[in-house]
Amino acid sequence: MNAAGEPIVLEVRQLVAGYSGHAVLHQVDIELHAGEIVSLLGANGAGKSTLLKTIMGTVPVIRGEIHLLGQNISDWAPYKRVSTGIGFSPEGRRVFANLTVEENLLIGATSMSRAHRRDQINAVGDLFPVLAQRMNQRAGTLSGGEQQMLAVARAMMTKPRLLMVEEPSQGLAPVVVERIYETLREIVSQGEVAVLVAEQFQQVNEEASDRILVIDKGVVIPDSELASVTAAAAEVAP
Amino acid sequence: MHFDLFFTVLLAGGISAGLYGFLPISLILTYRISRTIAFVHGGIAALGAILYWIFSLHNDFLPNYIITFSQAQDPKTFGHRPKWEPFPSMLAVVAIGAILAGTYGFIVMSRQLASLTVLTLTIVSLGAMMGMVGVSSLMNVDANVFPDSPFGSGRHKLLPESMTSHQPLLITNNQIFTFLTVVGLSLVLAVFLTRTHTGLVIRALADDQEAGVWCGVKLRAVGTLVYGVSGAIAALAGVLTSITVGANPADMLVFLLDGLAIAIVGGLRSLPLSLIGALLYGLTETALKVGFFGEVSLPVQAVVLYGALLSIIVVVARLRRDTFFLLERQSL
Repeated sequence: MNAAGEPIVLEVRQLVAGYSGHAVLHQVDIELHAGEIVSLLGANGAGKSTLLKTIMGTVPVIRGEIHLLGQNISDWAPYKRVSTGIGFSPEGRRVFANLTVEENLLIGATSMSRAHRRDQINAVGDLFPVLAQRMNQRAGTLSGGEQQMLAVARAMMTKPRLLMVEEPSQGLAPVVVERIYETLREIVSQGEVAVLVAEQFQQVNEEASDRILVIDKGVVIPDSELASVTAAAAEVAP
Repeated sequence: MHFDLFFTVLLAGGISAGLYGFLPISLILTYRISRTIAFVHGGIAALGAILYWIFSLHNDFLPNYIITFSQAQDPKTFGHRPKWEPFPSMLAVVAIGAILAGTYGFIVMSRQLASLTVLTLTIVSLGAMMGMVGVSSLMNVDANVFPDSPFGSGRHKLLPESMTSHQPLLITNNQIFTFLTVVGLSLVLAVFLTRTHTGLVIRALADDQEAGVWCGVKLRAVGTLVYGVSGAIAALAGVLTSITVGANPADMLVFLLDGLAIAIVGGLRSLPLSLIGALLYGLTETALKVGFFGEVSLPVQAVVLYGALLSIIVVVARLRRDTFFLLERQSL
């Protein structure tokens, strides 16, 4: 638990992970608590995407451990992680373009029982009213902002305790990004879900974030060095 | 042109299209989830044809100790391995096809292998096919001896004699069953893919496999199921082909190439378009064989057939942005 008494949802300890045995992440330590939005900032190739995919289980762990709600999930298959409580909205949205909005949401609920899928679609529809009006529309024909909302909504279908959102502002108008962050705040306001948002430096939404982490060359910068790193990044950013 | 053969071509071509519809169904199903061309189904079809021949015909092919054992079980079959009836033989072959393909799917859809490149997986599939064709060839069956059909040997006049000035057109039970099965299979698959959650998952994986995994889809389980079903269909194609043209593994490779070309008509995604391709292929082949266009030599027949298929593929590709895409969007 943190100082506010919120339970730990995700704990990453001394994580080394990468592709084909080559480490991309080095000794990463992260802790996320229920009810907080944590922004993970880094430049292209810094390791944000690899970290999120390692937590999802599609990049192998070389050393270290990942704990979700106290369980060591380091060697679990992705479907088991999803059913235990991780939702992931990947970079580029990756909605199923040839399926309708409703079908996308149903796929997001694959690990749920059939009886609960419909209820959860209604719940997610309340969170994203714009999607509720477009249930029968093909996802590929939605606007970029609507597709981003669909990607987050799809990740919410299993009632996750950890929601990971990768580059939600990519290619979207500021007003749309604002709406997405409002929804993320609404999600964490219940105090049960932790949200990890990976963004580029210039896209950071400081107001919406409870904490900011910086990753550089596969290493998460300790809080003590954070101020100097973000200042340097701000100078580099356009 | 011999227009008096028009109805003959239409009916016989339509029915023979059934045989060409099976392998494209298998290829499309597996392409949807793996993005690779499952050449392995050609091997399963070849093995299916040979196994059906062995199961359903008396022969001395198997090693002596098996024959001796069989004789002990059934003394009436002295000198031969006891044959099974055609229908259970067909069911056994279909089950073996499903098991072989399911096992292959279980292996290639594992987390480690599914992330390999499409080219690598296609070559693995080619290797599996060549292995199975090799095993089939080792069995050295007599391709000139055709096994019986599981649906009886009946022949039916399809057209009244007044509608054709040539020999009356006879259609076998096997051809009718083949046609009905491919139509029935397509309908069942259409319902399965559009009305069940597993069907929805298969369509989602066709769009984006990795995103499906992030949504909690059990890729290996779905892959094993799809490969198993498509392997059963490929084995059935082998059985029906062995009854029609004989159990020759080399013929089965040509049959696979026909099926692949037909599947490409549907962009390897659309079952309805592929079945239309199979129909056009069956009609063209029948028209050439019965002399609708006059006397045409075998090599010219092959050139015309593949030329026609290529033309269809080019036309479909040109229409892809609107009509074809629309069909693909609603593809079964």
